[in-house]
Amino acid sequence: MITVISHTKGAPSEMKMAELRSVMKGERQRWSDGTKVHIALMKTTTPAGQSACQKVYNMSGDRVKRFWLELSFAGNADPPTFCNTAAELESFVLQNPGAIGITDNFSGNDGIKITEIDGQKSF
Amino acid sequence: MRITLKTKIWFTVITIVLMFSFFSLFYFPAQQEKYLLNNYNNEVQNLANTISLGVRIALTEENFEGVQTAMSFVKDDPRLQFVSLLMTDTIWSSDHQRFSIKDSLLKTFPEKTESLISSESVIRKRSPFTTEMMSGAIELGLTTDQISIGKKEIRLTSMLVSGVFLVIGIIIGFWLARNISVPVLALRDAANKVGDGDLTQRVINDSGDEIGELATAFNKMVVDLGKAREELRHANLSLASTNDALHATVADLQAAQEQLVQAEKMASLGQLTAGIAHEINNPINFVTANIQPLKDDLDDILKIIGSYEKVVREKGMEKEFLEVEQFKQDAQIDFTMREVNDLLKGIEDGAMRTSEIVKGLRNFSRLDQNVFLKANLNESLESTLTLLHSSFKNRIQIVKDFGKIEEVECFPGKINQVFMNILSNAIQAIPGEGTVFIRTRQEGNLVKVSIKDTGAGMSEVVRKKIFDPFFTTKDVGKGTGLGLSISFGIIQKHHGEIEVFSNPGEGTEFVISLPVKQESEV
Repeated sequence: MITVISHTKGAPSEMKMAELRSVMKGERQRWSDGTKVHIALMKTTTPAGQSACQKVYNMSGDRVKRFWLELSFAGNADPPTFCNTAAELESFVLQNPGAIGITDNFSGNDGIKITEIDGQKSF
Repeated sequence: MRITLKTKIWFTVITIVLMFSFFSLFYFPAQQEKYLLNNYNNEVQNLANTISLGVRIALTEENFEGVQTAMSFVKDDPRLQFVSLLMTDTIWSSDHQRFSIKDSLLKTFPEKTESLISSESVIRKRSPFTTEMMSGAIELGLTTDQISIGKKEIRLTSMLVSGVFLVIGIIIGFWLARNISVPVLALRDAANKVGDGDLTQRVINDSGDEIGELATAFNKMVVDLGKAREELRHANLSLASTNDALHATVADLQAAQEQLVQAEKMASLGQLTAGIAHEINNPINFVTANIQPLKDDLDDILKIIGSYEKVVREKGMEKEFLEVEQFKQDAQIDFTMREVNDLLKGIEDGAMRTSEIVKGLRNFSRLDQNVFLKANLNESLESTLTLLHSSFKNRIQIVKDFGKIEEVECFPGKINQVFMNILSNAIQAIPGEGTVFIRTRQEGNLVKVSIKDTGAGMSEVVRKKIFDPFFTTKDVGKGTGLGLSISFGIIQKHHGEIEVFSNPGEGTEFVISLPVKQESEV
């Protein structure tokens, strides 16, 4: 199971899957309060990363990376930050306003909130 | 066509310089440019590979910023024309039977560059990479401006090197010409002069190289040649001296042979004269011995006849002896008596003269004796004069000044031969009337005999040659030229001396000095 976590500023506490996919594919780059979207993903070699690619992007991990490579080099969006551990990902989200990430092991950090997707904390 | 050494040196140097210039102007620059281009290609390829490696690592690490960073590796390079990240996809046909490779440009820098276009001014290198995520490639394009600059620098450097080498070549050419050609020409000139006989020629070269060694060897050769020539000259002189000695020896041998022949002839003549003298001596002894008794007998007869005449006159018997008296008148008895005395005197004189001649012949005939005998030179002179009497008696006066001298140990026959030669020459040297002075004196243990004539004399040139064998001033057939030569040899055998004093028109004087005693027999 994976959980979408986000910085207290920027991302909403609840989103639809379609909204989440739009954000994760770089189609939406600013939150409603104007904060720039920063995406954090577990590396595609981790179970969480693979799970996120399947469930959110509906792509393989390599495909996701290639997707982001093309997108970022085309200048259409900033690429996600791929993290090795959940703690690293939490740290990134905690330190970057507007950051949103997908993890499978959220520690419950106070500076980070869970954004429910389609009313679920984990999916 | 004759090509001088200097021309050959210059030709060699110029050929080397031109060859080097060709290489430095064309070949070496082309090679350098080729290496430069290769190096540049390698450098560009290495840069592309480096970027590609960085991108592959970044992609593997899912670090897209790392990809940017890797591509920014050459961003500040002034040669950069473009750097592109390409994504390579395999596009299959709808029936999956064929495929094509398609490159999609993901990123390029600078943004507006058309990365795939290449030109001669740009070197483009591709470095592919493959990750699990994708296959792609880095294409890197760098300008070739630096290569062009490098080429220009190479050509400029080549021209400078060629120019420097040309100058160095000319200097080396001059140096070689001076250090090889000039010494060789000097050597040639010296060799020519040595060939013409000038052995004072020397070549000065202190270079210490092969030419210097050649000059040293040449100088040594000339010195050795001079020594050899000097030795040859000495050898020639020695040979000439030996030749002269040989000639002298031959002359001596000829003289000795002539002496032997002459001695033999004289010996034969001596034997002949001795025989004649002996044969004549006996009958002439009868004549000389019988003259005085004949005179005495004739006196007795005359005395008897006188006695008869006295008796006739005293007895008055003229009538009875008229017939005898008539016979006396018819016979001219007084004239006859004087004539008989005169005839006897003539016989006596002839006998005495004949006796002297015989004595002279006997004296002269002692030629065959080969041991020293004591002889009175005055008598020898007298004997010789006796033999020569007929040749001078009417025209030449002989003035004899014989001193009191000791008998001399000699070969009398040979001494007579000497006196015969000199006196004959003296008589023959006087064409008309003249005088021959003969003087003998004792001086210590020497007996000196001077024979001086009032003849024509002789020049110094002739005087120096008169003792040479076969030298004669007489007409052909009248003299052998051996007389004085043989006389000289005879006097030398007697350890004596023979001197000659003469001037043209003043006559000639021979002075013979003989020791009284011989130290050893010859």
